Amino acid sequence: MVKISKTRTASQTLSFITINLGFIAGNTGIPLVILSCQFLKYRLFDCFFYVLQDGLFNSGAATAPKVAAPYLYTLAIALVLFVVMALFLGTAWCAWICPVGYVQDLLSKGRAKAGIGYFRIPDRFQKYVKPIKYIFLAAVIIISFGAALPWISNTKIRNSLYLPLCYVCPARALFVYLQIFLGILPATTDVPLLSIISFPIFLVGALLFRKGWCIICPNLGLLSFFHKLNAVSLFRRKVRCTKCGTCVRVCAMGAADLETQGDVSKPECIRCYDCMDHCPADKSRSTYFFKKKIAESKFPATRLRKELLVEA
Amino acid sequence: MCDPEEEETKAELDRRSFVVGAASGFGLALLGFLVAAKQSLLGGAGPAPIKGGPYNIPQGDGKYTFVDVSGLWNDVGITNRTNKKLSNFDEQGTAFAQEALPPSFGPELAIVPCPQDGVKFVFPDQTGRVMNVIKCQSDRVEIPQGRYSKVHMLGASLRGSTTGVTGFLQFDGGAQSSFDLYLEPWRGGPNEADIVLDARKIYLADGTEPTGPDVHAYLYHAQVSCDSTKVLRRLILPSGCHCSDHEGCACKISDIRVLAVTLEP
Repeated sequence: MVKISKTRTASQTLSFITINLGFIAGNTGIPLVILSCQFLKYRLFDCFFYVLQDGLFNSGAATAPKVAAPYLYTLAIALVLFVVMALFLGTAWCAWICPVGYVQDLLSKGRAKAGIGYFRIPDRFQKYVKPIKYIFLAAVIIISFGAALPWISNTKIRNSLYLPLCYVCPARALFVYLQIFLGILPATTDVPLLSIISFPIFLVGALLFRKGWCIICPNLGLLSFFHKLNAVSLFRRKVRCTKCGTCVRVCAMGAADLETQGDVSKPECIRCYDCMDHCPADKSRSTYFFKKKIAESKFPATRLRKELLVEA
Repeated sequence: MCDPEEEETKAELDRRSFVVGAASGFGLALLGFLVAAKQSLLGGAGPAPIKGGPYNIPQGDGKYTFVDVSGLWNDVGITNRTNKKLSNFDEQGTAFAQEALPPSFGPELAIVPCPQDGVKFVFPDQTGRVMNVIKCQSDRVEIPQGRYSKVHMLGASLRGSTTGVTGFLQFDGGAQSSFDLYLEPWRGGPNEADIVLDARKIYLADGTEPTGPDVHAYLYHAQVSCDSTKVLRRLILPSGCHCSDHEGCACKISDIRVLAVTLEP
């Protein structure tokens, strides 16, 4: 049977390629609920967060309702699309489709091959780390809209607050550097100083902590509002669970515990299914799409993958 | 055999599927409504801009060859009070006020000279609700075939001075060369030069009509050198946002406006 981790890697690879296929099919203009960067020259899809920030800024800065209307309309379409996409796949977008998640997973594999360990956020700090993504999300929304309001009269300051997330989003630096490397963008392409600073931090963070960015990602913050309201569900059957703790150990997001039963979809869970892949208890964990069972834990479980095994 | 946990799972899945299905259906219906009602929601119920013409653009004046770009005019950059709601030179609901243009500029297909060097342009139609400005998005301008040494354009940028704005000249035989188009902002910039029009009245989106000596709205003359040993066939206008205000801007809003193109042998 094909392991979930392999299926997921295949999905991520396919998504990464598809996102870059704009030069064949053109830009569809559909904002996906992943960090599909707007600065990608040949992108097939738009970035939802770009549309959100641009819409908030421009509708806030508009001098008349007529000017704001097109931005608000685009924003409304993007928001409804976001909700529909979130209802279908929920946070699975992050682990199965997002290019930033893919790059982090590749870095994790590379780190493991080099025999370097990773850090886990201690349980006692989890409660402080989990709200960061919501604070980040709130900051992006407040800055985008607030910067457009007339109380900032200095144009330079206003413009520098335009698209605040894009300054620190790893997808931007990743794709811009990749395109420069491939010769698609000229080497003189401007990359903001904050991106230059934040990208190495992202890389180091992804090496030290598995899914380091996902833990604080505002996109996950927004998608997590649908964690119990989407078609992809994850169940744990208490009678079959041996409480071995493998799920807690392999979960990079700190979303697994040994107490919750039934529907164990937590806001932090990105449906990577590492827990289910490695669960040694037969049929203890299962996932469904609507009512259809997609997969379940099996005995014997997948051997712990190297990148999950080596802890610093 | 009844497994209570299995029953609970089934009940939870039933509930969840129903809620997600209903919400998705509602979301898709709302999306359909938003797409279908776009015209009404964006105030499209009022008068819409129209394509003017067909125009009989003069071919030239002996020295200069005028290019017919009327088919590419795609928005209303110059309008009158009756139609000022259609104003959209800058994507912000603003336009040049037709009534306040110098008499030599209108109202239809006037030939206007550039005060600095005498290059002439066919100034676009400004009557009624017609479109009269090109929001440049890699538009293809078909050229009366010939050998030209210079391509002149009448236009402006929206925000900062445009830098690194690349268009292309395509020649007979498939050769192509790029050019950098330098244009200053239409509401004034640091290096204003080659001003063809300095309008003193504009229409704003909020309905006001600022006018007077302090109000300026410019159109500039930009020129591009061309290899006159080759036969020019086509001009590809620049695209996208190149404003210096938006560092690394990835927005799709074109910030280059061109109204007329003239060729010099």
